[in-house]
Amino acid sequence: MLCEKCKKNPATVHLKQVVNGVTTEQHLCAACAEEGGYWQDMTWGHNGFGQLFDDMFQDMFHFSAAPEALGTKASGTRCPVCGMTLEQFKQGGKLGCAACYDTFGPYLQPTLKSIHGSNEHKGKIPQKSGGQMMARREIGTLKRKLAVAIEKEEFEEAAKLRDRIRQLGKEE
Amino acid sequence: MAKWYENSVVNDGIVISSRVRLARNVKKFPFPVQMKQEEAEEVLKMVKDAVMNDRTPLANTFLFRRVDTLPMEEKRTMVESHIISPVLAQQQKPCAVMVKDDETVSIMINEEDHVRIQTICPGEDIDAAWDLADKLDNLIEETVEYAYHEQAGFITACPTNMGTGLRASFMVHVPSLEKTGQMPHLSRTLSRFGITVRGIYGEGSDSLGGIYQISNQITLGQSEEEIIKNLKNAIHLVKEQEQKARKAIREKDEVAYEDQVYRALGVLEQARRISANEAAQCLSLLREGAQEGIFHWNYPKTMYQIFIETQPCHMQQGGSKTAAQRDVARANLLRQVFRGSH
Ligand SMILES: [Zn+2]
Ligand SMILES: [Zn+2]
Repeated sequence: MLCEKCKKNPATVHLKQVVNGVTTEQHLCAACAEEGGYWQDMTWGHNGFGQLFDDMFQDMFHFSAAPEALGTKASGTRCPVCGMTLEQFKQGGKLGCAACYDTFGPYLQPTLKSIHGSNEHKGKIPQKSGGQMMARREIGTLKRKLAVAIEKEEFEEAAKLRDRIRQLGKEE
Repeated sequence: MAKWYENSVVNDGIVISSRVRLARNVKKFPFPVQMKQEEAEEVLKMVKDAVMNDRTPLANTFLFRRVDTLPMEEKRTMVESHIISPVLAQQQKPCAVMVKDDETVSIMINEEDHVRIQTICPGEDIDAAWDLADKLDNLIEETVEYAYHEQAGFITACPTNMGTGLRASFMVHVPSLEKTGQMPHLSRTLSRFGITVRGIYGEGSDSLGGIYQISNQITLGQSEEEIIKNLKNAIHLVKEQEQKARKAIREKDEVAYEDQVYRALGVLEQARRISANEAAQCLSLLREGAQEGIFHWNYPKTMYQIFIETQPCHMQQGGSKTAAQRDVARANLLRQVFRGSH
């Protein structure tokens, strides 16, 4: 059997992965496997046990599976901070720096939505860079509570909430 | 220091272990793929100092290892012991790992992201794994500022980790779901809830002992607590289905069920040459049999530990061996474990 990628060398690395009941198989030569980052599977030979751990570490993601989000006009885009181009980004599927998030935004946002069903973080906020964000998120929560309190005519509670919101707004 | 997988809890239930991984990057530095040598050195030092310092009692229990300067042989051994990932082993730029003495924590520096915190707890205890990872995350953040965006959360190199950077997972042993062919259906059901099920397969399509990894797929748009709760719901379903399948198999033919378990024991006690696949299948039957109360697990090692030790790479130790030689060495090891104490 010849390598699926270069179609020149004999395939010596056989990869098999089952994710959510769908089996994918790949037959590659050692050089192509190494290039594709399948080094792990090579160390483990034909045995797939290492893949389990690898999955925790390495997240394979290919943009080919993402929806075509952009026209041709963005193809010259380059990150001003790290220098990564849109082409490199699409090929590798990885950001080069935090600024790439904004640079490739028009391409990234629909991708994030298709992966996660959302593009808005709802989790942990770091203490350091997140002080203001924490206040803003708390204000949002308090405002929702305030609306409920007013609707239920719990005016004492509403007054308390209003004070807290005002206080947080000042701190910010 | 006893390793986590030597804890007997690892043998007791359907869930073998609970793992959490957090991906983080340091503010104002390009991610490892775009980093210059000096930048990588700087990040390495910052993260190392955040953990290995005199202010935390933690430092005493962690071992710091510079990885890029190690010989490839040694890196491979670390990959095989799951202390580092293959990505880190291949990293040419300055990179390192900090490992806790019982191997429940490893913090990789300059892998795909600047910081990868991984915690693992024996048995079903994802809360403890998350709690520990969360604390380590806070500890690092005391001195290191992370790349964070109000909308995107923690910015990671790969879009699949964006937001919380959290991957939580259970490693489960579900031999009866596998035997009854229910895994593909169950996997599809769980995938609709953003849960990924991965199986381990050996050569051909033979399963390696009914072990699967169940993890969250979504990292953005849900809080850490929601992600973990969702995963717990999934594991609840998996356990329930496995128990149901076991009961059905036993009720159908109890003698056949016990016969299988004891035959597996016979093979492990007597075989002179055994493949990794056959060993895994026998170990799987024995682990299940012990849980079902068919016999008492009275061996010095857990099934998972033996399972790992009989994988091809581990049998390779002490020079290169052919597949046939490995099979003989494996049988010897198994006989030692299963006959030594009976
Ligand atoms: Zn090739
Ligand atoms: Zn960039």
